[in-house]
Amino acid sequence: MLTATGLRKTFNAGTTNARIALDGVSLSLDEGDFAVIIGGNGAGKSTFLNSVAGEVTVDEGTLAIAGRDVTALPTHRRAGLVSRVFQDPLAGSAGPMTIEENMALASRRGLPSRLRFALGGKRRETYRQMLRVFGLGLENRLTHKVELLSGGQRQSLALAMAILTTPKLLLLDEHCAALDPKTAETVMQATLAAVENQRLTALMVTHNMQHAIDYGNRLVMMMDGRVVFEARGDDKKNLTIEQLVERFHLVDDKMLLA
Amino acid sequence: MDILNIFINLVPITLLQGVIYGFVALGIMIPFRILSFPDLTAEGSFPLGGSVAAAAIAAGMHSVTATLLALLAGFLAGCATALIHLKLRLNTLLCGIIVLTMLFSVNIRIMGKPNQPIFAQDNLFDILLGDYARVLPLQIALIAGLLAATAILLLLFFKTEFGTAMRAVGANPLMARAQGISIWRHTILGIGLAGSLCAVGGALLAQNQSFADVNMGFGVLLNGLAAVIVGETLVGRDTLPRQLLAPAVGAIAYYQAISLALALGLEPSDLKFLTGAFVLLMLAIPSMKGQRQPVKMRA
Repeated sequence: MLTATGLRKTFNAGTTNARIALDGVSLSLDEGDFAVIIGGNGAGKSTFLNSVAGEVTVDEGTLAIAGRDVTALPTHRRAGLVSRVFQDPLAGSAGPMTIEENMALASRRGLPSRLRFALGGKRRETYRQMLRVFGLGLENRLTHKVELLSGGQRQSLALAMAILTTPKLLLLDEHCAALDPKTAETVMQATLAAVENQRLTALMVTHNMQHAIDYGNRLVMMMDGRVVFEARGDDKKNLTIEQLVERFHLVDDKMLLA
Repeated sequence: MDILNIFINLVPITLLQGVIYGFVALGIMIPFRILSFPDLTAEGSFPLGGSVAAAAIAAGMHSVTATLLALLAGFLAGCATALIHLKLRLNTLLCGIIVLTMLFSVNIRIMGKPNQPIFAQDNLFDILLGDYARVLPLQIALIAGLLAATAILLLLFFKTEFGTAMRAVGANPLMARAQGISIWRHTILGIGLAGSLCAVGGALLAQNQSFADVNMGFGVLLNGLAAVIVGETLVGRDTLPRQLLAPAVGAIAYYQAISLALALGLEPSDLKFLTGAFVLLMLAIPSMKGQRQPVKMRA
């Protein structure tokens, strides 16, 4: 479903601030794979995710999603294939617009916008059902502006928007990291349920090692812009945080504390 | 009592001004409020609309066609500003200044001279109002009707998929891209739309006063911005209908306030300072209260 081959990216190339963010990253996901990416700060996780999303153009390498070469496509032209939940709860929706308007935009993700009314009577019920899952009462606030919502509500909305039309690939960029523990758990459970029910192929970046071990069927560890360790299936299930830390001398305190 | 008399005598003519400048206020509101693209092009697209309409009418063109031609010219001017910003990543205000300055020369080229009288030709008012073309209340009703129709069309447009996408581009470009919305297409068309509204305002004014002048745009941006702020204070901007009503109401109220200032004995030349001071004050209040930025710019 995702084939990344030899991705390289250097920021500020040719200057004294040059920084190699991706140093030949190759990763291949099959349909239904749920891969969790861990790694310390500056390991290249976010750059990798951004390059898959289209926000970062790679210097070298190729990217294919669902068999389509997307290496040269900008973000908005990949949106039909990929959806994304950002770390920042404010990033995934348009604050001055209503919940239903945001949902309407998401329902047309990757499709050309037409001169037809964005909102229709039938769609409301679909939106309600999708939002009811979170138990936050969002389903009764369809006409409220998104900027009035709390961070957790807004992130739940962002997730609902990302899975409203089934993406070929779902990108989760530490999407629970900015939430309080209880909301983070709700959003994570909703994520897992959606991945399960819609048989999504997903790529999740996290700082939380326990999440990395517990969730998904694949674990990818990055360091210095490279994939340094992969585990899948039972190998992955039997991993412990201690093993991961010990084996790779990861002393990133953010990961230990998470 | 003199002041009141002068003010009342000025009401019809300032009402007409108000509804004509309502188009410009709408054309200024869209970049500032909906697209988060603070833009000065209005200062050039407004006289551009006047120049194109006057030159076309003077050349014998039907006034409706001439007005539509002005609309198209304003659209292109807006597109130019948006393209410069997107292509060169220059500050939107600078892009607008470049375009409006260049338009000064363009406008003189279009008319062949700094101003173009069209007293002899039939204008929009002559054609639509016939024998009553010089009746001020009817002129006001005509333009007010056009303005209301424009605002309603815009409201409907901003509720379509395309219009919703355009609003998303202004509200959160990152999210818009992730939803597959082209920032370029929607920004260019949105700023173009704003430019055409300003140009229509210029075309209407030129036809109403029967001449266009290359300097007719001077200060129009700040007047329009003041009108938008006045309107938002009066009707709010919480919902889309209010956001679209505000410029129209604001333009009418603003020109009444101007006329009051004149009735009180101020010189017309003092008004630019007053308008500037007013806009400054209205922008300063939110930031002094520590509230959100009064004019949002894209990240």
